[in-house]
Amino acid sequence: MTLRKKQEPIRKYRSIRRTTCCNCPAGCGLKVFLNNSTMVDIYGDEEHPVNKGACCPKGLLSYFHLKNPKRIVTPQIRETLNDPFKNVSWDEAVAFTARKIQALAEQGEEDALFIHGDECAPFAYSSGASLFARTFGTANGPECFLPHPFGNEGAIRKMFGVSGGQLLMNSPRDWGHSRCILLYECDLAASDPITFGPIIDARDRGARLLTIGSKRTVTSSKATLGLRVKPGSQSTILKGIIHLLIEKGFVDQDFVKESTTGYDALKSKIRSFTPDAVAKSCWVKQEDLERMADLIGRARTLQVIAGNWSTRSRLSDEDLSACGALVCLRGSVGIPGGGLNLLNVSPFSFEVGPADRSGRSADKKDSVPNRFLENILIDDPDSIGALIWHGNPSPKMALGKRAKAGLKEIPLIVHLSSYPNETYHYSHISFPMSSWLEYSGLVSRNNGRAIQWHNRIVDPPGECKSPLHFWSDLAHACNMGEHFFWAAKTGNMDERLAADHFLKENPLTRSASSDKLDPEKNPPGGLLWPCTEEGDVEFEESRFLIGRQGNVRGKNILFERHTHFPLTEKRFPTRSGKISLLEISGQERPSEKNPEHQNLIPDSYLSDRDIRFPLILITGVLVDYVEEFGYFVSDRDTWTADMTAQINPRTAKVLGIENRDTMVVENDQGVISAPAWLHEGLDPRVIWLPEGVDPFQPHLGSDSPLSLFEAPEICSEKRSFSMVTAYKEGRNKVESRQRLLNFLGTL
Amino acid sequence: MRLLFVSKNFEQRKPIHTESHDPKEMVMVVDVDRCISCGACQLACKIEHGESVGIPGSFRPIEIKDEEKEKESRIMYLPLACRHCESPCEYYGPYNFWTACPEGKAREKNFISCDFCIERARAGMWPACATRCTMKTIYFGTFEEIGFTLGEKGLREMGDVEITG
Repeated sequence: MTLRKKQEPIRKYRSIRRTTCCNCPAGCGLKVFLNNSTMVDIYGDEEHPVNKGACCPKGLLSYFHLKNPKRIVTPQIRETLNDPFKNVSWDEAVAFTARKIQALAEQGEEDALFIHGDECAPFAYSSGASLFARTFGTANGPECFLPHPFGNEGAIRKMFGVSGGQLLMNSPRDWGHSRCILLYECDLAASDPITFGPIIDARDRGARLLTIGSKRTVTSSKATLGLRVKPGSQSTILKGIIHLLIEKGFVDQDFVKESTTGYDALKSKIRSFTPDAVAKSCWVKQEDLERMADLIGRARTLQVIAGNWSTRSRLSDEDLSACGALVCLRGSVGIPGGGLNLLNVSPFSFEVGPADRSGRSADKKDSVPNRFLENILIDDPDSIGALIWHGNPSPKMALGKRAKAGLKEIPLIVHLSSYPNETYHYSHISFPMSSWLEYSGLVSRNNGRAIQWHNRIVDPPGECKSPLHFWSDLAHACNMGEHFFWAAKTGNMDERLAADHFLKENPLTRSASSDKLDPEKNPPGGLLWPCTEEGDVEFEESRFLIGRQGNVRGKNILFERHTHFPLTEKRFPTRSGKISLLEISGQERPSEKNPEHQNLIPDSYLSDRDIRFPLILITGVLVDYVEEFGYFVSDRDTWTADMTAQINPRTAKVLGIENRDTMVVENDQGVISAPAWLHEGLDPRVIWLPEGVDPFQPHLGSDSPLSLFEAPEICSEKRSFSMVTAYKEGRNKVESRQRLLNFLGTL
Repeated sequence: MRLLFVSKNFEQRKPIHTESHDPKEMVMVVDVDRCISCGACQLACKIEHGESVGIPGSFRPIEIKDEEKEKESRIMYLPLACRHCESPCEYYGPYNFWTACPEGKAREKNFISCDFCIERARAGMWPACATRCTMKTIYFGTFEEIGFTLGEKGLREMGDVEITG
């Protein structure tokens, strides 16, 4: 008998429900098998064009998430952060929050309400939060905290006319046509395994896979050529590649002439980035740099993927515009297999919406720059009268100790919780949140420019509700219910009505609706946006697309020649109608706003014998544990549970550190102790710690590495590294540093 | 039952002569070039067997350990399984087919070792790990059937041809 690959369990089940996984922006289709409304098994949906039946550990862990006894299932309240939490009913918690917030409005201090948001927030949180902020009249809504380079003021918007948060030119269905794929500062194998699938498929079809990052990862191990560069010098290496492309005549002159402006200025700016200087500055071999430029230059159709949900807040305007320039110089825009593809894109920027009740936040919006919560907590904590946040942002703040001291000054902190993580422990009120299997809603953030729908499969435990339900209930309690018309005062909510409202409001998604997205009523995969006309919700007829069956409705390639960008009369919606190459600067890392605050490690930093912090600390996603709803979940038999802080074995030997020894990492911002993990993938000058860990995590209870980072500049990106020193616990710090300096000086 | 690792980067190349094997023998092929060590196979095994058998872990460990225990560090992550061979080893933890010591005293077969999901096979389906693999790294079939997969794998090596000019 021939055995078949069937996405089916052998357990007894009565019905199959289809939904979309919301654990990461890959947006996989799932089949959930139910026996009398109890989930018996979960499989990837073989008809879904993204995962085609596969399912990554994050998706599989949803099976365990539903049964996890650590989940928070009742609303809780306490007076101060030192008191224990008391269980209350949902309505009591809402009324209590509304009273406190309305007191701010009565004093005319609407802006004292801060609603935090990040780009990984589910649509149900960000849509409700943004609408609530506008209606309430606070200028400090969630969009203020989104990364600046991806926003409307970032370099990508000036370059292509579309903001970085919305720029994914070629959908993953087209990635198989690439002849060369450059993965810039993203470890997709660890963070988005399913999105890595079409890239490996393209490689198996003969495409060159190139990676640039500060650490050797599973992703870079699959690459034809991977460059491990000095942390923070990534944009320099891109400029070195651009220099080589120009020098060797690999520039697509026809495309540059027809579709771009500012090429001559770019040429003169890039002149000083000679291969020898760049290779030395970036810690790479010159021949590797030249080989990478050669592979990029000789491949017709280059695709660049820059950042992912976890690394994009650390990418600067320089990084993004250099990636964009690379694609333009190779003429790979608007053709199959090309494109600058920024992951985790969303059609919703939440910058326009219905009028607010005070009528003043709209004109104040322009004056409020993108910023970071840690800056406000350190510089002006008194300006925060109430803070509402979700997930686990507190360990992701730089300058941890000082920022968290600022949190203790805030009179009211509301957390929408799933698990008892660190952010939950910094809150006065905790609302229990449903998992995405427990409510229906829109999936707007995606690695493939798709919008999808997820269905409610099982009933939420305890008093858990969806984030949009929370915002709607809070709005009703604050007498602003008319703006949240999809929810009744009695607590019932029509999720489809809400989603349809937001879809219609957004010009980029106006022809979509929840019914057209539902995987139980349509071919799974959702719709590609922009979908502005009725015809956009049909399958695209194109001879280029591989496998008609695995296609998604909508436009797979943006900026095609002789077409107009949706809602405009131009191919590129910039002022000139062409791509502007003027955004790249001729400096290594420009920091004009604060010249003393250089985000650059001097090449000769080790020659100074008195240097206090000789090592470079970087961070990233850990493969072994899945961070789910701000909490590390694992059901794998992993035996690295007691190994966290990665260090090169040579450096470790100098410091007398072995696996599992407690390593202390320290700088002026604070101290972290974590069990060491000897790892060959790191440069001897670099230390790596997983981001997002906090002392309340079940498997990896140590302080977050980001607490040792310096605060970012306003309207900028987060720091990508920090200078530290390290030693074995119990050893002399000064002596260890001297040994370290002697060793690093020999490299 | 056989577990076969294939990669175009293996230094030692041993061509598989399918005719010298029993064509009906079940083989699991792991395409090492596609594996990203995500661990979905390990979790799939746990979901499939963990609850029903009441055991704590998975039959599919994915770490290869260094042999010197005091210097224990991971060398690589790959979908592994007990191969039911005649020489007991310690690689596969408590789910080794052989529960006895390597010296060969008192060998006993362990009934909870990996059986390529025999219940699923009876229902005509691939094992759970191969079905749920993230990167389509794991193939499953008889020697006869995997010939096609291996042929396709060989063709893929065309991907390494330099493109010039």
